[in-house]
Amino acid sequence: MLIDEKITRKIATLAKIDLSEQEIKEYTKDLNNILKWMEELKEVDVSNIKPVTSITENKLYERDDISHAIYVEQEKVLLNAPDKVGDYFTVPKVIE
Amino acid sequence: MMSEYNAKKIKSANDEWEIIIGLEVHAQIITNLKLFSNGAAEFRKEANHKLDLLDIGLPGTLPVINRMAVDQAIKTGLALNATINKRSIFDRKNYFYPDLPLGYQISQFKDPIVSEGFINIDISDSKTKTIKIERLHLEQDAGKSLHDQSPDKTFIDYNRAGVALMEIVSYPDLSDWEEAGNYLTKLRSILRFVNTCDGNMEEGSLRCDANVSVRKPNEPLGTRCEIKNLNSIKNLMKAIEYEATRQVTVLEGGNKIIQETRLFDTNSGKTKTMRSKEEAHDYRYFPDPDLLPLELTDKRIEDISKTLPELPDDLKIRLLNQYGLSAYDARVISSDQGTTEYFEVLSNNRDAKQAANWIITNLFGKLNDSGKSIKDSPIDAKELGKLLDLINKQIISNKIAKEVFEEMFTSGKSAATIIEKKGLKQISNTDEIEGIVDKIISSNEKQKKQYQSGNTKVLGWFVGQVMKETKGQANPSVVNKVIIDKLKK
Repeated sequence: MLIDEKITRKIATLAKIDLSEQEIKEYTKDLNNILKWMEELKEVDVSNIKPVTSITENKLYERDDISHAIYVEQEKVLLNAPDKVGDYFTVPKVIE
Repeated sequence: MMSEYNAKKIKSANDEWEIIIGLEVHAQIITNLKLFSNGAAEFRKEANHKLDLLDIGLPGTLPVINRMAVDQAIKTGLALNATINKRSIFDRKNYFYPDLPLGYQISQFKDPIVSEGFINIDISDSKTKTIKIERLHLEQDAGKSLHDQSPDKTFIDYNRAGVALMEIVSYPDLSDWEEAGNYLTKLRSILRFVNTCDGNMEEGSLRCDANVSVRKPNEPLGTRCEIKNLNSIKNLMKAIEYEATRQVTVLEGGNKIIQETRLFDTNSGKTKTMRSKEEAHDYRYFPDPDLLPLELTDKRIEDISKTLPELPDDLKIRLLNQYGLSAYDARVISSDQGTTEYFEVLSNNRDAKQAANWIITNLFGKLNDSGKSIKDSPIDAKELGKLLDLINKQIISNKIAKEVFEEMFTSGKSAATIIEKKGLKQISNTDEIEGIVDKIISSNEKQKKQYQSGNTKVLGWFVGQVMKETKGQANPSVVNKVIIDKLKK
C-alpha cells in the first residue's frame, strides 16, 4: 500500500475537509489506485528529457505596468462577502 | 598593528558560543500595479479599495504577470551581483489563511528568477566581509489581518494581497547581530539605489525574518529557530542577541533546542514560541498550471543592466579617491543617494572634508531631530554652501556659523539675511580689535603681569574677555595675534 489511512487523514486535514471513517477507507483505496497507475509511468526512462511545464508553444504573456489601476468598485468587491463590517471583510477571530 | 576583527560570541562560564545567522528579506517591489492583476499596488488608507477580482480570489480570474515587476527583479538581481536565470517557474504554495484569498500564494520554489549573488558589508573601516545570497524570487504579498478591531472577529483588508514581493534569502554567513544589522542596512541601501523597493520597514514595505542557531567552535551546526516580526534594524539586532543568548542558556542547562518559529515581542525585547515543528506547514508546492515558465532573453537582461546606477560600493571608492574622504565619511555619504547628491553640490569648489563634516555632524543631527530626510531638508546644498563660504572668507566664525545654521534650519532664511539682521558679522578689522584689547589689558594689570612672568595660560583668559566683549564675533586668530603682540610690550 502506497497510501495508508494516516496519510489520507493528513491530506484531509491540509485540505480542511472533514471525512467520515467510511470515507477515509474509500479515499485511501481510490488514492492507492491512482498512484498505482502513476507507478506504471515510472517505468519510462526520462533521464534525458526535460520536464514539461506546458504542452503549448505559447510564451508567458506579460502585462504593461500602466499608471492607473483597473479596478472593481469597492461596493461590488464587498457585495458577496458572507460577513463584513464597514469596508472590511470579516471572519471568525483568527487566533495565532 | 591592525587589530584582528572578531565577530561577537556568547560567552558563558566555560565556553564561547558562535552564532550563525541567515536572513530572509521580503521587499515590496515598486510598481503601479500588482504582480498578477491590474489592482493598485500603492499603499492606501481606505480598505479593500482599488481591487481587481483576482485580488479577492473570485472564480474565473487568471493571473497575468506584470512586466515591470519582472524587470525590477532582474535589476535587483544584477545589483546583488547575482545570476539571472533565463528560465524560472511559478509555483503554488498552499495554505489556508483568511488574508490569502486564493488559498495559495503564487511564488517561485525550485526555479527562482535570481540565484547566487552577494553583498559586501563593512565590518571595520578597512575590512569588508562578503555575505552570499542564495536566491531572489518573485511572489505575491498577502492581505492584512486586523485582530484588534472586535472581540470575536478578524477584519481583512486585501489592498496588499497580490502586491509584488521579492524574497531575498542570504546564506547563513552572518556571525553576529551587528553583521546582520549591517547586511540589512546595506541591502536596503542597494534596493533604494536601484529604486526597486522604498525600504520603509515601519510601513512594512521591507520585512525581515532571521534564522538563528548557536554552536561551539568546530562543532556541527546547531538546531535553528526562525524569528518573525522584525520591523526595524534595531529590533532585528536586539532579537538576534536575545535569541542566541536564550539558545545558549537552554543548551547549557542540558536541554535541546526545538526547531520552531518564534515571534519577537518589541515591548519585552524577548522572543516567544509562535508555532512548533509539529504544527509546521506542509505547503505542497507544485508548478502553477495558470502560468507558463518565465523566459528571459539576453538582450532584456543586458538592456536592464545598462540602467543600473552607480552602486554604494563603487560610489564609496569614488568618494575616497576623488574627494579624499575618510573611510567613515565615505561610507556614511555613500549609503544614500540623496546624501551623495547633497554632498557633491556642497563640496563643489569647496573643501570636501569640511562639506562631509557639516553634513554628518550638523545637518544629520537636525534632520534626525525633526524626522526629515535629506531630500526634505529646509536648507539645500547651495544655501549651506553659502554659509561655508562665509566661514572660509572669515566673515563669521565656526561658532557663529552653527548659530546661523540653527536659524536657517528653522526659518528657511539664507545665511546672509540672518547675519545681516542679527549683526553677526565677524570682526576681523585689526584696528577695532586692538582698541578692545587695549581696554581689557589696561584694566587687568594683574593678569598682564602673570603672563609676562611666564604664565602663558592667561592668554586664554584674555581671549575669552575679548570674545565676551564682542559677543563672540571677533575673529579668534586675529584676537590671539593682537593680544600676544600687546602683552609682549
